Amino acid sequence: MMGSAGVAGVGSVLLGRGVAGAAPASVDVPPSAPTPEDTDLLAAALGLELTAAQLYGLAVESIDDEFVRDLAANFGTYHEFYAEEIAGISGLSANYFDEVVYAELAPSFGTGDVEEFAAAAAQLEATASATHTQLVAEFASSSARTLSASIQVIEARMATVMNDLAGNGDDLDAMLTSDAEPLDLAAVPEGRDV
Amino acid sequence: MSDRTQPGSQPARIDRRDALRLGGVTVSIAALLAACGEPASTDPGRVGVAPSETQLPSYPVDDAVLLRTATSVELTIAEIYRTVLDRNVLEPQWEELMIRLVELHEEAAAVMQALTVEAGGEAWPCTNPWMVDRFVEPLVEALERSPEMLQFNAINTAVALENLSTANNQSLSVRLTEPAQRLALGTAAAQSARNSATIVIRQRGSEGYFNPDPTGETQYDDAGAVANFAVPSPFGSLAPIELIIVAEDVEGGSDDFALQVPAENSYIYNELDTSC
Repeated sequence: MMGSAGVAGVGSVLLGRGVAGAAPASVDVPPSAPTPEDTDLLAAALGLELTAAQLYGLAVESIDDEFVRDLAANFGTYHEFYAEEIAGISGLSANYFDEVVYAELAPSFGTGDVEEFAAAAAQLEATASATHTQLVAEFASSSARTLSASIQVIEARMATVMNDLAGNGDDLDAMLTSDAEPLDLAAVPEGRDV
Repeated sequence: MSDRTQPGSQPARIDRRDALRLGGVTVSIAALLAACGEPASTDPGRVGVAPSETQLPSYPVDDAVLLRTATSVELTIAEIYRTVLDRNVLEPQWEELMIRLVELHEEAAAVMQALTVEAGGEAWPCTNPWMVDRFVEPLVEALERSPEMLQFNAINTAVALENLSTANNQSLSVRLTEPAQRLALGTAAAQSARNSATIVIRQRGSEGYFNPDPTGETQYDDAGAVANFAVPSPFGSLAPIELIIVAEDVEGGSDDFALQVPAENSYIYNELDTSC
């Protein structure tokens, strides 16, 4: 799955112009509530988030290190928050599950080995972040876009944390860049129970 | 001493007829003022020497304006990093990271500039004038007041700037019309989020992995600066970002900044000249 400008001297640009009056015109206003197409994508995103939460649950059960267990528990809770918010704006019940993702990552999340878990978690978070970034582009409604945008930046941060925990902290490229591809949530494969 | 009241000091007596006449005069003067005077200002009262408020422009806000604004923030951040790098005080690991951050923000700006042209606008090649006036110049002054603390303050500044870029691109990405535009700004937001997390981890190690306060409440370190976290909150926040520049002289006081994503008064409207 986982596949220059100078600072000085520019301050007067605005000040030299007369500016007053009515509120500015706006770009096209999207619908607020999720459209039916948005809801289909939200269902798949909901499955991804609940699956991520379950994977972190596996890690909590299998890792001895207390600090890493707390970290995994926190990140798992964040994914539960995301699932709850997605369910909240879409009206979907929070009982979706992505078997494809789970089957691929469960062995590494349940191994008990911190570095292996962290590498798999970094992969999961980077893919989840890329998927929500893609969803921001695909969603028609402002509510779905806004929620995915607020999730994807935190998942990118969590991926970076997990990259460090996996031992890549001194590798700037590994920490700063991501080549994770988004999941194609519109094409739900067999085994993805959404 | 006599307690008699002198005739000239006696209070004037106003009978009902006088009162009616005076009332009429008062009403007439009020009517005259209302007719000829300037309308009363609806602005709130101002006390002291606070800077004058920025008038809201009346220019339209389209995709090009949002993309130009996003560009301006990226270039402003890159320029602040260049200013810090020019001081040659950073240890090699921080210098290497900051040079990389300059490249990443300039790359993001280039993508935004290309999209601006595709949207029918003129690419913005400059920093954000409003940010430079209101934030960058005071920030640079504050940094230079404590040269011994420059690296410490510059690292905290970098975290705040990356958080600002993250929030700005997160905020603007959902407003753009075209999917490719939203994808580009969402990608830029994720990049800045990784930048921020990387700086924090290099600064604080695993202690800075995540904010133990689940509400994302700001924490402070022993020096009085904001305690940074790679994951500061469960959701991406658009709230003002606090940055404290700690003075090396404890009696000098610290400088506290609240960084906010651009709004109508700091957008880069299509009507603005692209001469920096």
